[in-house]
Order: sequence, then C-alpha cells, then structure tokens
Amino acid sequence: MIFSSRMPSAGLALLLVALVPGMSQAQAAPRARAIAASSLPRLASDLRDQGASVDDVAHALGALQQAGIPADNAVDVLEAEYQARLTDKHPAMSFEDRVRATLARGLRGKALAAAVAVAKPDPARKPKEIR
Amino acid sequence: MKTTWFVLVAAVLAGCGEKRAAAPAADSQATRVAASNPATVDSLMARVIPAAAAALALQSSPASADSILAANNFTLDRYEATLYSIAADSAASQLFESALGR
Repeated sequence: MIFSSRMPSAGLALLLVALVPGMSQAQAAPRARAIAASSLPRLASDLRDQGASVDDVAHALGALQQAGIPADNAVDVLEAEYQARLTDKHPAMSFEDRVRATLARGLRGKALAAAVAVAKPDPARKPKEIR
Repeated sequence: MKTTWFVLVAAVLAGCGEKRAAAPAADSQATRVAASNPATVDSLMARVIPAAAAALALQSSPASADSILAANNFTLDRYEATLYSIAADSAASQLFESALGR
C-alpha cells in the first residue's frame, strides 16, 4: 500500500498557521499532533504490508510511545522506515531494535526518523534475531 | 453526533466484509482471530469507533481539533495513546481504516 491517502504530517503545524487566521504556532502544534496521530494506523499497516512483522511494528511503536515521542514525530519515523524498506526489504536489525538504539542515542525529531531508517548493528554486540 | 456514530458503525461493518488486496497472511490471521471472539470484537469496537469518529471530524475540520477531541471524550494525550495502541494492533488498524473509508 502506498502513502497516497494518508493525512499530511510534515510541516503541518506551519501549514495550519498559514491557513487558519489567528492561529499561533503554539496552538498549531497540538493540532498537528492530533492529526498526525490519526495517520499512525495507516502507516503501521503500510509497514506490515511492506514485510515488517506484526510484533516488530507493535514493539517499535511501544518503544516510541514509552519514550514520549509525539505522534507527528512517530509518523516521520514510520514514513522513513517505509521508504527504507522499499529498497531494503531485509534490514540487518529489526525495526524495534533500530528504534530502541536510536532513542538511546537521544535523537528526536527529524534526526530520529532519519537515524532509525539507517541504523546498523553495533559490531561489538551479538546480533539479535530479526522478527 | 448520532448520525456520525451510525455512519461510522455502518462503515466499519461494511469494511469488515471487504478483503484487502495485499494484506499479508499474519494480518488476515489476526483479523480472523479477533473476529472469532465476540469479547475481542466488542473491545476493538470500543477502542476504534470513538477514535475513528474523532479522526473523521479532525479530517474535515482540523482547526477545531480541541473541541472535536473534547466532544469525543479525548484529551490530546489520550487520543494519541489510543491511536498508538490501534496502530500497534493490525486488526484494530484495519477496522480504523475501514471506518475512515480508506
């Protein structure tokens, strides 16, 4: 499944500020979060359709939620993962492990999304079985 | 509001009858398992329908997000947590997307 009908996420806060008169950026951010949250099920389904296992997606989402990652940032992570899987269907690390490793590095925002998609196994650690 | 709920329930029931073309085996299995247990279906519906009602309203009127969430008994944090949990569950995701007519 392709992302054609998902709700917009990137830059949504700025767009809302521009389109809705009298709305400040501080007001737009929660709205962008709510709208982005609505697209999480679609993006998760797209990832599962792309070959990510049900458990892997569930655990990765759990890790993002536990870390307090807002929905608009989680949407960026799922989109980046989807794009990465278009070219690499069998990543060396599970999605969950890459999310956890990247969160542990303290990355957030767009940097988190970009780093999750390209995270590689630490050669010093024994690789975990990919779910 | 009553009309929205009626339309949503009808959409979900109609959507449940459809088969997604490219759904992987695990996804279909999850849906079958969920559908075979009435209690699971009730729990799914209870979680998905209010979220879908809010999502539909948000889609048509994003600037009214605060009042839409409040009207559906959500805070932003609770709505976000609900959507995280729906996304983590393949059957719930499918139900949610069906309710939104996707």
